[in-house]
Amino acid sequence: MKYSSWVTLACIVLLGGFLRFYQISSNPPGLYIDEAAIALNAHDILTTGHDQYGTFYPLSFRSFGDYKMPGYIYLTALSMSIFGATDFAVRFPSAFFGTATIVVLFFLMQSLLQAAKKTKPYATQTALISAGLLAILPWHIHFSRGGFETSVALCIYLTAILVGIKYWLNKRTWFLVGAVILLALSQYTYHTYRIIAPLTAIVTLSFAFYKKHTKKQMLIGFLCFMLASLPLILFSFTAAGHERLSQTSAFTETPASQLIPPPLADGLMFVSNYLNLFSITSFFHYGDQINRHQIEHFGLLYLWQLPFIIAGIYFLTKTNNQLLRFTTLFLLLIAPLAPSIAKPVPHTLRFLLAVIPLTMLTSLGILQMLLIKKRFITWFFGGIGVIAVFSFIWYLNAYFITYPKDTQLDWGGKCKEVAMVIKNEAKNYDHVIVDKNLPCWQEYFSFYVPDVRVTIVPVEWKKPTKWEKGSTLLIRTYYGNKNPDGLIETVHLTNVNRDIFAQFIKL
Amino acid sequence: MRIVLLISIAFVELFALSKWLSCRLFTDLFYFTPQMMTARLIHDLNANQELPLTLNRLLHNKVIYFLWGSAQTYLQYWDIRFLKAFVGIVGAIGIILGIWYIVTKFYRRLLLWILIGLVSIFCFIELFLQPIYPFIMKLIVLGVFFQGISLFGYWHFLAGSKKLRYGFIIVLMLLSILTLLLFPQGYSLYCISS
Repeated sequence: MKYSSWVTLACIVLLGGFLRFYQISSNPPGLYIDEAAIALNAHDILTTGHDQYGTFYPLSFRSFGDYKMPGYIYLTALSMSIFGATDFAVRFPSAFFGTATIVVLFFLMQSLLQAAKKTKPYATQTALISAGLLAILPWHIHFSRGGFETSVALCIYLTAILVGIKYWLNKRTWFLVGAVILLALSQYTYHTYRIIAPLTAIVTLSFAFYKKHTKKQMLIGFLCFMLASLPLILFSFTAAGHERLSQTSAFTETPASQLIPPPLADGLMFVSNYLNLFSITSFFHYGDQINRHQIEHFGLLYLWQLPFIIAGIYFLTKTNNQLLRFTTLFLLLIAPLAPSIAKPVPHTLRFLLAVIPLTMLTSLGILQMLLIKKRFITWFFGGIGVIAVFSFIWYLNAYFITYPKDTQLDWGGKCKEVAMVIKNEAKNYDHVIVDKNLPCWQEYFSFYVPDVRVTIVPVEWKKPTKWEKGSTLLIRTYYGNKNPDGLIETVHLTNVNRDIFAQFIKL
Repeated sequence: MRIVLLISIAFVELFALSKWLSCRLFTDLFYFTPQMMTARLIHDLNANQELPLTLNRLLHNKVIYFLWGSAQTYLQYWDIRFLKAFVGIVGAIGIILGIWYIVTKFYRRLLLWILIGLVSIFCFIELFLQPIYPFIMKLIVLGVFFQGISLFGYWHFLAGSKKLRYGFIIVLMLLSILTLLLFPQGYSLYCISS
């Protein structure tokens, strides 16, 4: 690879890193509840070696009646040991692995394109386009900036695919071992990969067997995967192991029909969900309409990518590079499998893997268009270039200025503010009480003000008579009275009306 | 055999379309109105007050919002969730195939581009002039063109009598019928009933 290509790659990674780390502690505005739970567990692991429920270095973390995979929590504990118990430390693993994914995608595309003579001359340029695209892609930036486990899992999974491709090309056993171990590791990071990783291992090993790779290597690969997955397999057979699936299963919503037997109806539900994930409005307009998952009305991808994605598919049908075709289509088709069996659909967080094949297709589409040696292509790229630059600036404006203001209630920024006021005021009170209607969970207070005992109470709560002598601080949501008796402080939302988020009342 | 299959596909698509007869209007998803544009524009201008005024107006103005909003709303007509409800799974896949063949194989045939152009223009008329045409007329026009593209797609997909493709289409037809039976109200997400 030329020196200039290395410099370009470095610039792309720097840009990607900047977009993922800049103002990461304050935008998204506050830790959302799952991040707060991760932070609390990581802090407990770091300080005591036990989780919230007293289990010593657990394999799965109990949280809100659900069980979280351990990977992200242990990584956060590591991050906290360096950066302290801060919002930055909670999001650092996601942003770091998100940035690393750009590098992995570059080498993956380069390896795939170098696998055939015809595509080899374009390998580095196209790989650079892929990396550059991923660096600025709204979908990937968004999930790399929050404490989302899926961002880390995606990077590990993609590295497994890269190492697997290296094995495919070189047939060295240690590449195979590395690939299957990484695949197994991705399962420990996010639930979606508990379905995708074993399927990938099965498909890859089956193809290797079909292509007459040595049986010994196949056996080693299989055993390594099983061995690395063994704790998770054993966990999957416990009640906690399938808790997640039973909670999020899409099949609980399958309509009852007298004409269609239940298993067939579930199958139809799956097919319907699978197709729904390829919704064009989801990609370019609404996303999944969960404000934590994208900017409203912006979509997950840039609209200008659409013609290139079509051109990319065309490129794949024409190319003689079978490895490139197989890998891209495999990633595109396997990505919706796990999200299809869960609700709601579409769900951009669970479907994040699709960002990789869609980026690959866009870059292949750009390559396909560049290969057309006609004058109008220059004009076409000029036009698209202007739109692309404007879209990017527009995205930056929407993400860094509008988004934090619009989504204060979707994230937990105001709960942090409430916790900080509690931190200052708590020393003056014997009891600190939080009204249940205030959208701040116990985890926020346990993480931000661990030294203060905060009790969450129902709306009808009355101050007990035995507390009469002491002083009590009540934090409640706004109930229509701007100046209730004993009001000492108000936390406002940063919207035009400055609506009241929380009132601090001395009882 | 190819003709028989195409006729069967047409019937399945008509079965899906027949459910739309109880509709009066598409839902808001399909329309881009000046009110929506203005509301979004005012919201964004207010949120960006700390920017210099020129930059704020350069990023947030009626021209950009009109182009952006109408392009995004236009996509709704090509969304797989809508197409599945409109002409069934088999119809939706057929439309994708039809467009694929027009773009990749028959890009020099003017007539086909006119077909796509007509659907596109119809969607745009629907987008901006929403209430002036009777819904049944919109259904017929949109249904006929979508069916046309879908059947064109399958006609070329089945060329060369590949058995596997025949089997694939039969499976798609079965899936369409069963899905339409399982989700009989699927269309109601996209239209307001009379």
